[in-house]
Amino acid sequence: MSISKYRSLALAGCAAVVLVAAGCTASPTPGTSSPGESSDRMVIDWATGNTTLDPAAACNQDDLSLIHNMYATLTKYDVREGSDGTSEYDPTKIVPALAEDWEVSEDGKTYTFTLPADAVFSDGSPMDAEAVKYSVERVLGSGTCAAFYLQAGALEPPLIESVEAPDATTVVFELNRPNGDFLAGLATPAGSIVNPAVVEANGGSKPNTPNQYMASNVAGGGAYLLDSYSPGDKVVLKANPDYYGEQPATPEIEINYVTEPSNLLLQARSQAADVTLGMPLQSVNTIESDACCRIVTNESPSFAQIALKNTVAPLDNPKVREALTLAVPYEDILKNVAYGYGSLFFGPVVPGAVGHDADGSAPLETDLDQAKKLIAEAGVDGPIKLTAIVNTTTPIAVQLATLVQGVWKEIGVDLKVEALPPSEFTPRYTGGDYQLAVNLEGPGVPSAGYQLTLTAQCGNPFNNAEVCVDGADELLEQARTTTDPAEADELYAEITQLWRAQFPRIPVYAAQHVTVLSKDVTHFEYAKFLDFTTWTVSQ
Amino acid sequence: MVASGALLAVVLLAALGPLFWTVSPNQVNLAETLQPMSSAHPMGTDDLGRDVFARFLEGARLSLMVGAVVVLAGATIGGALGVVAGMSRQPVSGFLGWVINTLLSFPTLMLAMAVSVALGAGVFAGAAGLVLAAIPWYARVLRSEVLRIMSRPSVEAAVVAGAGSIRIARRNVIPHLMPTLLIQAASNFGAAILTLAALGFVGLGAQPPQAEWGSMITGGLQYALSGQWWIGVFPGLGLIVLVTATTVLADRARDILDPRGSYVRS
Repeated sequence: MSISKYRSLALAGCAAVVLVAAGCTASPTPGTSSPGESSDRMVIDWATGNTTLDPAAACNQDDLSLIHNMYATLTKYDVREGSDGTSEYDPTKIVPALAEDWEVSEDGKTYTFTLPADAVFSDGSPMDAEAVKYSVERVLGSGTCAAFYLQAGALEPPLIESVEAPDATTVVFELNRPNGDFLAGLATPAGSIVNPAVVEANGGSKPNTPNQYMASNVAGGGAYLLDSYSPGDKVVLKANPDYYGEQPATPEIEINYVTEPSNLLLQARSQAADVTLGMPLQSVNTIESDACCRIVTNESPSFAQIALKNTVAPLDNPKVREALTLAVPYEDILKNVAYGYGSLFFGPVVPGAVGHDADGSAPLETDLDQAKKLIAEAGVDGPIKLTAIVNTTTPIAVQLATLVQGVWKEIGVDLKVEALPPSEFTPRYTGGDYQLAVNLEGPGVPSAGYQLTLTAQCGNPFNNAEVCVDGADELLEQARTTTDPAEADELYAEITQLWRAQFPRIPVYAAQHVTVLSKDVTHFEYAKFLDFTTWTVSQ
Repeated sequence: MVASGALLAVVLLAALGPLFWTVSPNQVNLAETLQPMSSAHPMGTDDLGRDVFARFLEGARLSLMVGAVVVLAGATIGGALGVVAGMSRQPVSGFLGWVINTLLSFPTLMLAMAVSVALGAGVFAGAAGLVLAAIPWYARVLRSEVLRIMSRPSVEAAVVAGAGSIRIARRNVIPHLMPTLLIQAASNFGAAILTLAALGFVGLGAQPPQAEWGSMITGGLQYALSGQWWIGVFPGLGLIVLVTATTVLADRARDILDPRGSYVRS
């Protein structure tokens, strides 16, 4: 062999060694502290990419959870012990956040909040009463779901009549009626306090007009600052040194949006991710017994449903609705589709929401014979042909739709499934342009009052299934305006029974929130709007 | 030989398989979800307990049918367009040439996706999109061939003798186009099957519960690392075998029928 060939081989060998060495050290190292101490960096893999950073425009759960960590709100949910050494939010208790305390007038229509004198935004400007007033008015004029969340679903007429800032540390809300969920509405990310100067310098706040700057930038004073942002790809958060509250336990959070289920599983198994959110349940089932990870489940106010458009024939026939409801194989679905990560119920309010009547929402038994009988009794001319829309990016919904399609054939119902991309599914679903829709749902404010207003209040524009239960609206109004929680619970229980008798919707199962944690995670806290500030991982 | 055998095997499986394997491709059985291969389920079951082999056969039938429809419709419409464009005088010939080139400027998959979105996702819309994408390929190839044929002395003689366009087309042009048309059709068949699978892969092809190889591959992806590899692998293998076989046969047909190598692969 010639000298030049030897040289080539030697060079190739060196290059190979260098590459292998680089590969061995290329893996990201979460954090830089000694074993046993908490790391200063946490890596989160998130299955659903975010769409906006603007609290006045965000509608979906994942966007709201990210936003929640970068902005302050007046109130927040309290925390209680969760399962397996974790903690979770307590939907029954609202506590002060930015607001130090508040007073409520006798008639329940005036709320006066006291703010700290020294809270600031990330640019040092005061996070004061004027900023709260600006932020609230911005949301109220946005024309988006944020206005719905902020007012806890009470829009007919709008709950908040006015918000005033008599001085720098006092905010006064005037409501046009009492509402037991008002404080919960302020705790949602729709209640985020934005920096007025930053917003006004970048597009301002115009009614019913999205602000493009705010969609990809943050003007807040929350626990974390936005260090870098690549939409749908990666977000890095760093602790806000000027945060009014306690500093986050982990100073840096790296969020990777990993939409491919196989990659999510790989990253979790190899512990490249400390926390994995949104992993498909069949992957969770696979990884359950792996030594790499532990699975944490929490009751979450979300559920899989088959929405029925109550005003469209033949779904306007209660016997048809009842037949369809009885012909769903609930137990099999919970076991084989949801892998047991959930629970069954039949009622208008999901378990996990305040005001859910557990005793009155007992699940139904599947009964195909009764379903066939009801179809025969319904008096519908000809074979029943229905169409269900599903979102192609929600595989579990596609599975459910395909499954009931097969089962309903046995009772003489021919179901066609229309799998739509999100850009088509969302406007059709929110606009009520469907006969049936199969999807995962959940109230923005985890309360019976909010959920019933959204999904069962007659004539409510957000009630896209046009559900209207006789006698329920009056009871709902009483429940939402009473200041006595026990009285409200009784009223919700009564509404639940009226609702059940009409079979207006098919809640297939209540979905647990499932998080995959690496074995190094030392503290995790679940909340409706995820709060990273107390999460820790050892290194 | 191997390619012919492979294609024949797929055709026979698709045509005769249901006679011997009578399991319904859409029969849901939640008690048998994600089962591995066994004598009861030679290709295992999917996430809804459906037999993957039955769905594989159904997918094969769909692919072959759509491929055949796309070839027939594309060849007929595209061929007619190519003949008219080649035999016409300016400005008709130029205009038709411009139309063909404009359609060709769109990537095939993009055009098929656009049609699917416009008509609503499904096999019919997918096939319509594939036909629309195939037409300009036939038209361009045949237009070039017609222009070449029209310059032959036999055609000139027919024109001088007073023969009309239709007679010239029927007697002097179309018979000479058949080899080119067959080569193009053979090539287009495999491409159509692959593009249909691509539409299914992105959710624009067959809708649930219809079995289609592309959507089966998509559905199987999420199970690749959790151990249930069979859901996506078998339809993937079927696609590889079928498309490779048709492509090899198309190449062989070109070698036999068109030694000049003037045909264009679509």
